[in-house]
Amino acid sequence: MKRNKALIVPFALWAVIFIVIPLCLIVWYGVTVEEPVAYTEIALEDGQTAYQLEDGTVVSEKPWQKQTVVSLENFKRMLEPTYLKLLLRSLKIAVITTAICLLLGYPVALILSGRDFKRPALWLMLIILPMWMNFLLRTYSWMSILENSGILNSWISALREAVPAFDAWLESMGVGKRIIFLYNENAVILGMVYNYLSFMIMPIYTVIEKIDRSLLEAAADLGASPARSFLRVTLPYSLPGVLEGVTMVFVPAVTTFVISQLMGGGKVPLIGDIIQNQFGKSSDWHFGATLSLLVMVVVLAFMGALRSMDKDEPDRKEVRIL
Amino acid sequence: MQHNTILSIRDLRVVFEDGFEALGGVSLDIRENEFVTLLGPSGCGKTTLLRCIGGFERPTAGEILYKGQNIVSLPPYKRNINTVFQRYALFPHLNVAQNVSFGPDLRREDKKKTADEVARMLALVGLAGFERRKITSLSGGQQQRVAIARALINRPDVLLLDEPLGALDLKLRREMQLELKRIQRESGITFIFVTHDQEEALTMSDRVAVMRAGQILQLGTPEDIYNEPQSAYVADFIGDSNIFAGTMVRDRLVRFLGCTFPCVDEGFGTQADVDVVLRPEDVKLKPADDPAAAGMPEGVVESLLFKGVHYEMKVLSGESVLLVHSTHARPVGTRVRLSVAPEDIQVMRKSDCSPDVLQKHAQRAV
Repeated sequence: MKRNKALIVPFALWAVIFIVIPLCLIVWYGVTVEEPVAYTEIALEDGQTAYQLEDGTVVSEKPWQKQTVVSLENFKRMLEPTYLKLLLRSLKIAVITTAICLLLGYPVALILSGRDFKRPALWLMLIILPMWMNFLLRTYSWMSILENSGILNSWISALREAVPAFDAWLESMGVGKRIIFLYNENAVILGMVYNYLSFMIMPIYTVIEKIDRSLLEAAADLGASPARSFLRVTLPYSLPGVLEGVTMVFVPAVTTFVISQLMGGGKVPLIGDIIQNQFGKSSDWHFGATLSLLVMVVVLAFMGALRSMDKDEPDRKEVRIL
Repeated sequence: MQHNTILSIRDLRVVFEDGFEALGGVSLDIRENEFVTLLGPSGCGKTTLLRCIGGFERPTAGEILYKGQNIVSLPPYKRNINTVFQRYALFPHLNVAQNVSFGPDLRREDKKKTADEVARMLALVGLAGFERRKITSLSGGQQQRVAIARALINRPDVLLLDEPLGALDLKLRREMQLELKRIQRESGITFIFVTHDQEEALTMSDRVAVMRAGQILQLGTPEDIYNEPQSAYVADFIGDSNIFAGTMVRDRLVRFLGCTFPCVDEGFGTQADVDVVLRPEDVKLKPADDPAAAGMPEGVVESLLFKGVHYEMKVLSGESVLLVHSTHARPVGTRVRLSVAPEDIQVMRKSDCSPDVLQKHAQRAV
């Protein structure tokens, strides 16, 4: 037992250094602002001016230092409509992304875990394989497919030249010569779905795959058609996997900034972009930290809501084992 | 008793994808209200046969006639047959009542009526008042009863039971055997029961089908199977037995253990090779000098075990060791003569598994 406890030391150290301390720092930065030091001007006899700081020291030069003071100013600023709108857009895009991932991923997981499905491992591999490539590379390749002079547009114009009727039909629909796919919300959502889909498929597959086949046979035996077996057995049993997949897609989708910058071209800023900005261009770490705290609270609330849904499922642990 | 055939299995063959033949042409008629047991070692095809009847396995060839209609292509949910699964397959996300009412709920039956029916079924299996209990809080025996109630509430014509008592301890298993028998009598449903436990099969069944390697070797009442095994394999599988290679000298006269015995079997021809079975309780030990037993095989008591109701002795006679059950103990080393009544000698034709069985019995001597 003692030895087992000793094994946790490396992780505990890791957690303290890289999780607990940074978190404390974020909270500290979040509740503080930088202010110029306060001073009073003193007119000296020789006509020059000296400056007295609050602690009584007198300096000859105008103080330039800033001091860190605890203040809720950034929280006030955070609640300005500009930022709340960004947060809402982030949430909206994350919800849409999660929903699309679920709609696409669940059937895939279901089919892969089917008893008659041959070689599911190979197919899972094919699904995960793209994820082994660099994230930026993957996103850039989508851009080269979708951009105005990209692969998709050149195919479409080739088709338009080859098939005049198609061209005429597109014209009548009011579609221009080049279709703008990139730099809008839909492009951002596409980028997110593409990058996060496998995080939805994997946990659902793992859970469905573990469902005791005899439970499905029992349902069929008691008169349930395949569709009703699914609704009454597979679906309730796969809920833990669905919740896990939803968490794994939703959380990064709320906080991402790379996808929105590349696929959105800066036209679809998300809360993640603004936070990144505070630590980059604007270099206002304090406000960045405050916004991070806001996102953290939203994500925690979301996870809490999911947990409570999970509790409605009484025998979750047993379901997992089966 | 006159019964109608409810289920008729005709020449059923199942060949798995890997080429393994699980059932090699099985035919079996099952009557209404009958308790039929499929008995055999693991891998003999008994569960496959049950799964074919339940609709979970598609036979490669053959027919399953249910009330005269071939149901081979019907999916399980369209068959009026229910199954009690080996590991019960209860739904852990539902409580006891919800599990039992799964079938009626699917048919959207009246809630109030279903609730009454659930209570009645739970009472039948001895779980009255357990409605709101969680499945995971139940013992193995209780889960098994819930599984039976969940199947019975659908009023199937046939109930399939796949080794449902396998996971229970001996005492509970005995209780459940009686319980199942009672439920079967009270509900009037045809039970098809799969087990590898010969004692269980003999206790509960109206008829037993002994299976081996995808074939039914013998079908009959427990008494028939025990007293008149048709092959060395069946004799060996059911109960304790002594099996010897013998020769049918002529009708009603068989030679084994170096002696010739009168028996009641006929029709094997003359000087035919046969297998002979003696049940341990049918072998009587006489004093070596008993004039009435003169000419009977001689033997020496090798071991003596007290088994409660009887003593179990091993008697060495020539090259063979016989298992003898008797209420009368004879000390180790006693010289005895073996006596068997003609009607207690069971003569069987040689079959392809005779060599294995004979070898196994010969090894007792070593």
